[in-house]
Amino acid sequence: MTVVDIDCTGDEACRLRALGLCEGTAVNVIDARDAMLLEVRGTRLALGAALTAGITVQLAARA
Amino acid sequence: MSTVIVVLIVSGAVWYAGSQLWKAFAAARKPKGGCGTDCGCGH
Amino acid sequence: MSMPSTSPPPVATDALRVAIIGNPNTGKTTLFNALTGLRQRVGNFAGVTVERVEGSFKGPDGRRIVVLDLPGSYSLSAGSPDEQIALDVLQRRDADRWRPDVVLVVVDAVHLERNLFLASQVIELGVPVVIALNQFDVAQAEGITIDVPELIHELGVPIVPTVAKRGEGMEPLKQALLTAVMLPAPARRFALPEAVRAALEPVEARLVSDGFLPSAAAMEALRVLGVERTDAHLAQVPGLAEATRQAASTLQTAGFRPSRLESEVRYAWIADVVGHTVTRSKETHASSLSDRIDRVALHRVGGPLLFLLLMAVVFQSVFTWAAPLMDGIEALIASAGGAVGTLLPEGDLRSLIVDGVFGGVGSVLVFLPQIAILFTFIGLLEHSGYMARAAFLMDRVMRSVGLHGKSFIPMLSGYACAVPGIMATRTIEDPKDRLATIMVVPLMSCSARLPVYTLLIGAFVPATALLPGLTLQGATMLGMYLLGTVAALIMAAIFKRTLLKGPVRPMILELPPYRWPSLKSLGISVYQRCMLFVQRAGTVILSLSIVLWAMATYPKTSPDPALSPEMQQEQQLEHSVLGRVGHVIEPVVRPLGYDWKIGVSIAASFAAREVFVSTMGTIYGVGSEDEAALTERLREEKDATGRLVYSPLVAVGLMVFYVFALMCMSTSAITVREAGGGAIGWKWAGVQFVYMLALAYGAAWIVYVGGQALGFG
Repeated sequence: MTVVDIDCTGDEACRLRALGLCEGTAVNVIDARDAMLLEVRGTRLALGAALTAGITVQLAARA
Repeated sequence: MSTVIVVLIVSGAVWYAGSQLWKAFAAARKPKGGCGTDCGCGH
Repeated sequence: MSMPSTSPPPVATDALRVAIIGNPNTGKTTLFNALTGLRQRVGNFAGVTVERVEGSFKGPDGRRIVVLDLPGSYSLSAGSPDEQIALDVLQRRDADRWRPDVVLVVVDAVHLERNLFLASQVIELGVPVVIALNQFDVAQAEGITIDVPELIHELGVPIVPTVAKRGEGMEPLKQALLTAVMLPAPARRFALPEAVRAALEPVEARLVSDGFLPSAAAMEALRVLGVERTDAHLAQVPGLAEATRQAASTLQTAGFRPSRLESEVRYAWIADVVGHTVTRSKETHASSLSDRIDRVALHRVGGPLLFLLLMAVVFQSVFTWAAPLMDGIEALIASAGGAVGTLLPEGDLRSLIVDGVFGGVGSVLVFLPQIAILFTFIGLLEHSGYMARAAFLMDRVMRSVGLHGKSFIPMLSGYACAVPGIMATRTIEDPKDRLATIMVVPLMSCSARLPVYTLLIGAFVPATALLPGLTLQGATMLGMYLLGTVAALIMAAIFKRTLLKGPVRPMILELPPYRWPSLKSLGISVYQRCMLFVQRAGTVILSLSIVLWAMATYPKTSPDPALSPEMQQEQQLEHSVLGRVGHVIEPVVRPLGYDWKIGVSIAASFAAREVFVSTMGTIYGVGSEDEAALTERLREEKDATGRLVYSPLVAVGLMVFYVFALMCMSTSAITVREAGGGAIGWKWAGVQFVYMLALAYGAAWIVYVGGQALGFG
């Protein structure tokens, strides 16, 4: 799926973008519990629920 | 002789411990640099 | 050193200054270690708690190269104090005025795409750049082929493939660092859309007039656009905030999203670069082994179990492996002290050297085995990549008291010894979370409290069986540990809501692929931790232990020769400064049910709580080795009115006092250092000492008074 929008404080959005998670990035959800494990640009990121709630994704129908 | 050495060692220790404390208080009076107001270092 | 024949360039005689920067988990520190070995100096950046490691080595031409290891950063967006420092140094604006001649960017060849974000920012700063393409072997093993010449062409800076763990590529890298200064300064490798370029021009002009290089100004202008709050870092640049706001609104109306702009243009360029320099032969997931390990390590049930098992092993080995080493060190120092003592005439000097100096040195060095073992484990967990998983697993629990998942390991370490526990808080990035953790780690019952617990429980708590395998004595001991742990969690929550109030930062954690740790890096980091402890805590402890010795020795009295040597000793102690202090503080400890002798023991153990037992031994005229005799003596001790001094209630109160009281010079010394050093450090060490003492006094009082009201003792 693809990230459409990141809605969190500037500081956190800033960190996410530096980690490679920005609008238009393809992500894979590896695990979703309280927090989420994502695969982004070949790296694994663990994001707290407070953050993932603000991230909108779009399922990549057209691959 | 040994009394002199004892006095020397003890006063040396007092001086060192005192200087550490003094340094701390001297540093407390000076404003610190190197950190903005908003960079999140807790102050 | 080769002698230049004619007009040597002025810089060549100086040391070359290299700043190393890179994403976390790229092997940056391993590379730093491979370059410099043990020639490193650890300190702090001026005014902040960010660790500063500087090293040096001789370049191929004999020129000295000084290397500064900047904190691991994902970007120069200055989101954390670490990144702020890195940005300051690279923009040549840091408080220490350390100006790098070359910036070495360590890039993980396996995750080139993500790593190039930081690299592209650094390239624009206008300072010569060399890129180390590290973990090149892992990339090859995973079927990633990187066209290095093409990548050099794309980035416009020298690139050296390296395998830092095995020291491969170090010679070409050193050569590249030396020649990089001669190359034209690198600059931005992509063009911004015309509208953006025009909108940012006024911002750049402001920065250039403030002394920025044009290239660095271009990078900075794009960067501040993404930083929503007023950037304190550049608050002193006149008119910058206004120009930035203007540019942002211009871009907004032109249909751009200013906050995303930097990441969009950089990643677009990166995608293009990676697209024609990197080929993947395998479509499999690059780190499939890591995934398989994580299936167990992060399993909902198995993960926490594995974590607990690992922690149990760590905790137990810090306890058991360190014990013989600690005994060995103690014996060694005692025998060395004894040997030196026989060379000296009987008297004060001998006592000072044996008890004061050697005793003081011993009380410092005795912690070394625990520190070394704990940091070996922490290093292994960290270098292997497991630590990030542990933080992930513990995040939810620690979050409930307002702390970060990473606070768990330091708190657990506190059971062994608060000193390495506090040193282990370095892995926590958020300064407030870190301070809150430092503040509460000493509440975890450390091994130095054990002698106190053992003595008092052995003397006053009956060994009544409660359950099979559990006596009242064991339960009391467990209770003391639980009391400290619960208090630590509660205090952490209180600190995070008061003095260290701050937003609970949501977890953002990279889980790096699992790797075999590098033995060399592990060794260096353990060595550094040990040396830091000996140097910083050691000097203070030694001087204080000499002062304490003097307080217990002077002024002299001539004891009644008819008395036993132990009684003479007691008389001397009562007459000394420390004894007088005991009498002075007696009214203070009276409400807790203590007499002046307990007061003296407490006063003497302010420096190190385990001294309590040996002082009790001295006061009651029995050797501290002879615990059975001391136990007997304590049970029979009566005050002037003939009442027993030690009721079980007093003993429990005293234990509770020691659960909470911070009576350890080493801990205070390390808190000073780790809480920021200097005035800030002393302030926090003071806060820590006072709140714990207040807690100790209050709790002991509640136990004593409450117990009496309930009819005990």
